[in-house]
Amino acid sequence: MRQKGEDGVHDYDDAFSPVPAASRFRTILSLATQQNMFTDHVDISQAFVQGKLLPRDGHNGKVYISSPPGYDEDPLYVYRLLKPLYGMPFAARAWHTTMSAFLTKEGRATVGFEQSMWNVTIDGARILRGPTSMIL
Amino acid sequence: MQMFCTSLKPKTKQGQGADLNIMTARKITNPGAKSLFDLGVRCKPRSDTTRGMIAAFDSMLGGTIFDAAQASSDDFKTSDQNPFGDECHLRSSRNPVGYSKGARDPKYHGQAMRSAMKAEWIMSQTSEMDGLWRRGVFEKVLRSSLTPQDRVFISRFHYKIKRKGGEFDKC
Repeated sequence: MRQKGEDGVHDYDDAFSPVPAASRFRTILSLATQQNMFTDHVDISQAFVQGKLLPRDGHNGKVYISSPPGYDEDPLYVYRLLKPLYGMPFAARAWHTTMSAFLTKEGRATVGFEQSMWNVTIDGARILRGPTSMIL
Repeated sequence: MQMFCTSLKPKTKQGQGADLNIMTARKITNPGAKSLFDLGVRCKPRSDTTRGMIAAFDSMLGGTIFDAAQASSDDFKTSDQNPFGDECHLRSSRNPVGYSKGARDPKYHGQAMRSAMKAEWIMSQTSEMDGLWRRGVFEKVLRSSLTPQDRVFISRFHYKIKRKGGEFDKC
């Protein structure tokens, strides 16, 4: 599903979501090779809809959408979004904020100044993770 | 700091910064070899590789090493239920009705409903919406309860045929 949003009319205030650069990814692989670590990749399916809609997202903190063409719905009803949907400008930021809040609560820290890479140690195994995917 | 491409001329020699990939290495080390097999690369049985990886990973985590030889037959039983729920249908094993290799993605709903894959698109729409409802992505609200300041955005399905190795995977 896609949705049109307009800038300048307070549909969204911030859409920034940090993404690790290619060089950071290569650094992870280099570190893994150096320290004889296993590397694996986990993709989180439907990541964005698992995030939490932020209080200031949408118009007056609420986002309403009409049902898409082809889906039978009573025209008297609209849908109020409770979670970010693909195509929304702030969906990536909402997911990043949700995941960051969880990892911070768990006592994890980011890698240096890179806000989208986390250093997690579980039972002696170090995990480095990115925005919507994890590199173990 | 950024790295820029300084020249667009093709670089053919290694000293000029040409990419040293596996094909270049093969040509240098063994010009007669036509495949990795000729270079002595042998593929291990997959079960050995997997078992080795699991054992190494378990030892790293300090857990017990899974030994397939000592496992009981119950360990290999699989559930009849689909572990991914009803949303996931193993549809990759067949091509849907109306699918052809050169089939293009419809740009909008009307185009999808006029295409030969109409039935498949309707099924995908339903499963997509069911998945979103199940995840609690939205709730129904009466249009009459909205204030004049509230904005209602339009939404639409994005139609995309996903292929794997040139073959139909899902849509």
